[in-house]
Amino acid sequence: MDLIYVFQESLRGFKYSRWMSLASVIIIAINLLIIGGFLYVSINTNQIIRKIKEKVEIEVFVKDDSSQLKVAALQDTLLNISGVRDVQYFTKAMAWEEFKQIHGEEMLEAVEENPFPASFRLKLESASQNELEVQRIVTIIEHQDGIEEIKYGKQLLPLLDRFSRIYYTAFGVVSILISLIAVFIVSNTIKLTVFARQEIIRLMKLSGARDLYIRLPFILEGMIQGLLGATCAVMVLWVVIEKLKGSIAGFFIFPPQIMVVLFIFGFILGGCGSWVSLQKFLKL
Amino acid sequence: MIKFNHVTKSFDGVRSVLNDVNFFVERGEFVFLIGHTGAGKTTLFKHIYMEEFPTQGQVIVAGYNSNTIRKKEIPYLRRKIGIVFQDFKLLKDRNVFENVALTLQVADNRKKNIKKRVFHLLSEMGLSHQRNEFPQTLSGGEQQRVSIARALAADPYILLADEPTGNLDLAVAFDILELLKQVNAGGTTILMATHNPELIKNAHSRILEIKQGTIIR
Repeated sequence: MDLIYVFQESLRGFKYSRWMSLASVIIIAINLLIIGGFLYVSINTNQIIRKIKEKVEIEVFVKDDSSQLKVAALQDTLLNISGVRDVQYFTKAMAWEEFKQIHGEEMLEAVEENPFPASFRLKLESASQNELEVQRIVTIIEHQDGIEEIKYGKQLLPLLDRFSRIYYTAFGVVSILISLIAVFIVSNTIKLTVFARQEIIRLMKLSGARDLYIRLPFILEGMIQGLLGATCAVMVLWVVIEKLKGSIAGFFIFPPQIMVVLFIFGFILGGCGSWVSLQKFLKL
Repeated sequence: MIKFNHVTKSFDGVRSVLNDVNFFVERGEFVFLIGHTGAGKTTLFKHIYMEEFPTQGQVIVAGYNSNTIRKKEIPYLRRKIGIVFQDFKLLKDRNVFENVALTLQVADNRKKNIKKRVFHLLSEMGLSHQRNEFPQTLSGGEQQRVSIARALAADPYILLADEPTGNLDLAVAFDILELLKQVNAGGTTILMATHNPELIKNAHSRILEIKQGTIIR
């Protein structure tokens, strides 16, 4: 196969149906803009959920009469529970200090003895930052000796879990839907450019061209349109995000992966669009 | 070379466009296919390059049988057939050279060979000096010569000419017929559809006549 020919034919295609090609590029750009915007919001929301979840910790209060040896043993046990990433020990004095810092010294003026128990604060691995896992870890801890009380975000966790479940399902469904709509619209737009050139397709078929030979220039053309569309979409998205920066708290990340995803998606979208729209014209 | 064996073609299952068609064209023959518009000439041609397939019966062309040919073999059958159309079907965005070269390009020929073959054909057709011109600047007769050169580029066994003179005046039509006879003398089998009685009058070639989908002569 003569690759120079394939490339020349693709460029000829652009020249031949200039306005339709432009329409294709614009439609691809709009589709990618929607997908990119959606990805951007998703990645940022995901980041926020992760940050909240990272704050989920289990606080294990130790009985006042526990010996140092016992405390050390307990720390080892806690560290060895699967799903626990880090265990920090807070002595009674540290708890006192912390309270003082948060609520001020006046609150403690009437208190003579340090009333705060020592505690362990457990950070969890990301895979264990959900209600079920936390429940499992808490049950294990409850069976240990020398524990006064266990505290964790009982209300927050199920709420977060439910939110992420709904969110990820919606993300999946909407992504698939947008992609399908995009392929449909793009293939229909490209169909118009193919339609304008059915004469050459027919001539090539009657001259004994194999399907792939006819297809390749169109597919390459679709891919170039996809890349141009992606370039427009990335530029617009970047400008919009730069403008929005700071106006929505927490929304600031523009991961370079979005650009890569959009370019790859544009490439595939253009290619698939051409492939799908050529099907009809090759039946002869 | 071409054999139609009890070929019936119906698009809607009720009315037959071809009706029990039987004929045989030998290698190297020049055969006229005559009949009125709508008699089934084009459908018959489409069966030869297997764009259409019989509802009943079989077509055998250059060793390929319509009942057994596989989809991926069709391009190779078509490379053995050159087609000339009434309306020339030249690509307006390509010059004469590129139009003729198209047939060779799609058959994966080398660039050097394509150039050599196209130059040779254009000189045979008397079109060498017009190789860089675009079809719309040529006369009808010249355009048909380009289209014949394109059909002959891949050196086909069979040349199908579907009303090649239909858009040309009589003097030019005779020139084209003469050209086709020369091609035939080189060994290419030719099946030419026409409804121009003047052309066949002194042609001394076999005539097939089709009427309402049936071969009557």
